[in-house]
Amino acid sequence: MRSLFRSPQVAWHQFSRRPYPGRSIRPFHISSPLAVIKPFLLSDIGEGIKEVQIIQWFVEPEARVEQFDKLCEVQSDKAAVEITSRFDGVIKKLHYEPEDMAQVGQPLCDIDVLSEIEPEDETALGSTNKQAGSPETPQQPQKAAERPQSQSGEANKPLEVSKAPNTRDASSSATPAVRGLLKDLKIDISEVTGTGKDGRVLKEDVQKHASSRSLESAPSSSPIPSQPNSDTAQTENIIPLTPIQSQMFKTMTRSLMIPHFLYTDELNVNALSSLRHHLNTHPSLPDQQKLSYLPFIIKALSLALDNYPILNARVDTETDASRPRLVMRSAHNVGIAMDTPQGLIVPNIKNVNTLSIATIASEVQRLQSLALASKLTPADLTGGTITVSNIGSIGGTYVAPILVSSEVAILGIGKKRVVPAFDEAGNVVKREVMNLSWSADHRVVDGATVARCAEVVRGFVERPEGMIVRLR
Amino acid sequence: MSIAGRFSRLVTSPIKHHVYVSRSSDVALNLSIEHYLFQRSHPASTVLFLYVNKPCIVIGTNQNPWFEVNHALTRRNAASLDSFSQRDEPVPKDEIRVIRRRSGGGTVFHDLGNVNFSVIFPLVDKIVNYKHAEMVVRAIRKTNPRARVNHRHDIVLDPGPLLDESDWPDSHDTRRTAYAFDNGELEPRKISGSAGKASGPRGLHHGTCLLASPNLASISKYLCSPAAPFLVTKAAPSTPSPVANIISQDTPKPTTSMLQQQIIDAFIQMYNIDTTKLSLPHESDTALQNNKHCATGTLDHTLLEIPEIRSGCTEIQSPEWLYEQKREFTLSSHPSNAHPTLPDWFPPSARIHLVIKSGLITSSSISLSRHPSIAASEAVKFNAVLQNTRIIKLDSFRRLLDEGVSVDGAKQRRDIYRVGAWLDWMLLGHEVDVRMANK
Repeated sequence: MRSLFRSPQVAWHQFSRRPYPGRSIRPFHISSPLAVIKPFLLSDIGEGIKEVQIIQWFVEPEARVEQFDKLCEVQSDKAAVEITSRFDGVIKKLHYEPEDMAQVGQPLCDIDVLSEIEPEDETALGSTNKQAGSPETPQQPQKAAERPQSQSGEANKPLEVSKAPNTRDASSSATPAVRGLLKDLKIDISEVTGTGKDGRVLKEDVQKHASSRSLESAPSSSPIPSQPNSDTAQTENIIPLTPIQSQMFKTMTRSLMIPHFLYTDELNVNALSSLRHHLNTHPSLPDQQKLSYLPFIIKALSLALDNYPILNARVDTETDASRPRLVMRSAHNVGIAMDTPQGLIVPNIKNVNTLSIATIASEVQRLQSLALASKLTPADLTGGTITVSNIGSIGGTYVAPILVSSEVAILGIGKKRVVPAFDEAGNVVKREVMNLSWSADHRVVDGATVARCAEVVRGFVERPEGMIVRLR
Repeated sequence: MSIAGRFSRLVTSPIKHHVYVSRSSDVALNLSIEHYLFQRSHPASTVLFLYVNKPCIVIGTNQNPWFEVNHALTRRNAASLDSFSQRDEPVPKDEIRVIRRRSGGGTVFHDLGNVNFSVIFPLVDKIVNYKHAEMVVRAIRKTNPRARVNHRHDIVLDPGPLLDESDWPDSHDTRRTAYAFDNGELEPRKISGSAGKASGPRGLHHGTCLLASPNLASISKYLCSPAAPFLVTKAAPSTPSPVANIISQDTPKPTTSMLQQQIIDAFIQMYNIDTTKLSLPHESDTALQNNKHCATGTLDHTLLEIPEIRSGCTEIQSPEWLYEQKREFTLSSHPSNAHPTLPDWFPPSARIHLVIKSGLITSSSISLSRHPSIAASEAVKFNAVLQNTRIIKLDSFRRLLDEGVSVDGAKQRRDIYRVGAWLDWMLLGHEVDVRMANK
């Protein structure tokens, strides 16, 4: 006899569709609820934790779930926590792969919610994180035999979001000097991240925290700030760095600690241009591909490196930080900077010193197509000894290329241009020129060496016949 | 009714407090009993479970076993007995097992001088609280007053000199001791690491407690994997900490069962449990018994009669559970971000790169030659043999590659042998024979 219902909203003949403990009693209705796909947010795990790592998923897209079913397991610090569904529905999309870091407050997965969404459940979907309870709906007295009781508390009673007491005692995590500083600045130690041993808070941590605190009152970092009158206000859109950008960020930060010596030269490529044209129209081999300037320049560089091997070396400061040394390398593995849709990538051609210009050209082709398809292997991307940056293929005449930190020299090639010039008789003639810009590590390479090497390269480029006498 | 039957009745009953001690030193059984207690105990109950394991290494649920453990040291491989005896170290009598547990956190070493405690309690808001670490500190302080809980919920010992009386904290404060936390050279020493798990209405917090381990000096060797510099993985790494035993010169010598007794006492005090007419587990075995408020007893392998414990035990010992979780990582002889040192017998022009997912080699790029086009065709040959191989089913990479990859020269034959030997060392834990360098 269903006389145990205590809810004032519901008359005695109405009943809830499912005997879950804690489910509020819904009015009976005939029409099925509309399909509504909502992102299910990762709720607060406590202890101020902002991100967790996904350990494993228990569901996949199109899986049917019921309230309290396990969705996934995440690791927050040292606890493996199972996240359960608050709704009945169908999983539509998973926002993370196993081992990805998931953000608290961000969508974990999309769910096509088939049950009615109670007001208190709305907060778990695509809006704020606060859990507000609704005071009127009481606990359903009928208990389903297997279901545990305590989950019922969540949906029905007004909740106080109680964080675990995080009392990091000042004296166990900071020296008296730091404690004094905290008191002066009126900062609570639990707000400061300690970078000292055992997580201890150091003076620098407190100072950093104090300065960042004053910045926090600056414009908020929400992704879509709503500004009705936006004529003067700046809108900021936070986009995290892509993997290639973050790699570039790290690499460039390292590279710019090296003092760069810049040397630029303008080369007359008339002879090379006509040679190239001739080879491309009358290929000597049946399956020869079209040659660009790049393979010639790469080979010229490699030939010059035979005379100036220091430019193919690398600086070793790790083995003995007080005694840096040069590591000379016999193979010329020339890296070629490439611009792909994902960003800057530098695969290298191995052993250019043993390869012909035709082979170099085919290697360039091979690496370029692999790069565009994002199929470069680690073997292609490691082991480079010197780099050539062909930014001229996009544009620009003078560049100041940045060194790769495991190398001491880099050559940037500008765009080929046609300029007027004077010949020996004083007549104005058309000349095709190209700028070569060199950067070298000035800690180990002096300007004269770069200049001499550049001259050798210029010689081979302006008079390609010079390369013939070096043929093996 | 059998012991197993009575145990499962007690566990699922609404009795509020439970105290169990295992007499088995089998890590797989103990973890399975713990998991059973976690899943089956009444949602409103609080359970204390204590156990001691034979030497083993336990990695967290989200970790990579190749990255965390030196497999060559943990296996007793007949071929490598020579290399073991060359060094002046105590050779372990039994193999040291490697087990993946079900809670998060890092890698720990267990042995008979280490007491494990596990508390299962009702969860509030999915937050695993670590307040039982404070309870264990109260127990330890009976023997060693230097213990305290640190900010990571681990238990550490302050090694420094006794502070001035005016600086002494309140004796109930479990986060501070009367000793300085360093003495210039030593940092606080970790004696207990912990980890947690949350599922539905239940939370679990368990931890180790180094009482008197004879293996302290060797631990770091077991937990330092030679493959680590060559692996790129997103798995959660461990946080290494200097460790110590609770027993030191200025403390009396308790045994593991004494410490267990002290932890039980602290638990009873904390929850004010009425233990009238109950005899708590002490030096000798105690039968399963209970009153209205508390159930207690010693447990052993007879519980394997319970199907869930038996199947959980089988699962946790299986190589699939340890090595074939849904994780992806790469093993590379020349990783892009660093230059780890390769052994001097490694062929200098060889390049190895494997992508491993769920314990399976999903793709490989192995070459011996410097020349790009020869290397490319070599890679195809190697990949044909290696692709989709399950590592746990492999006996020896050396043999697999030797038989599967055809090459012409004797030099290439030798290089293949060495490539295989390196992979055997990295992934199968075969200690490499020094004499092989001359082969």
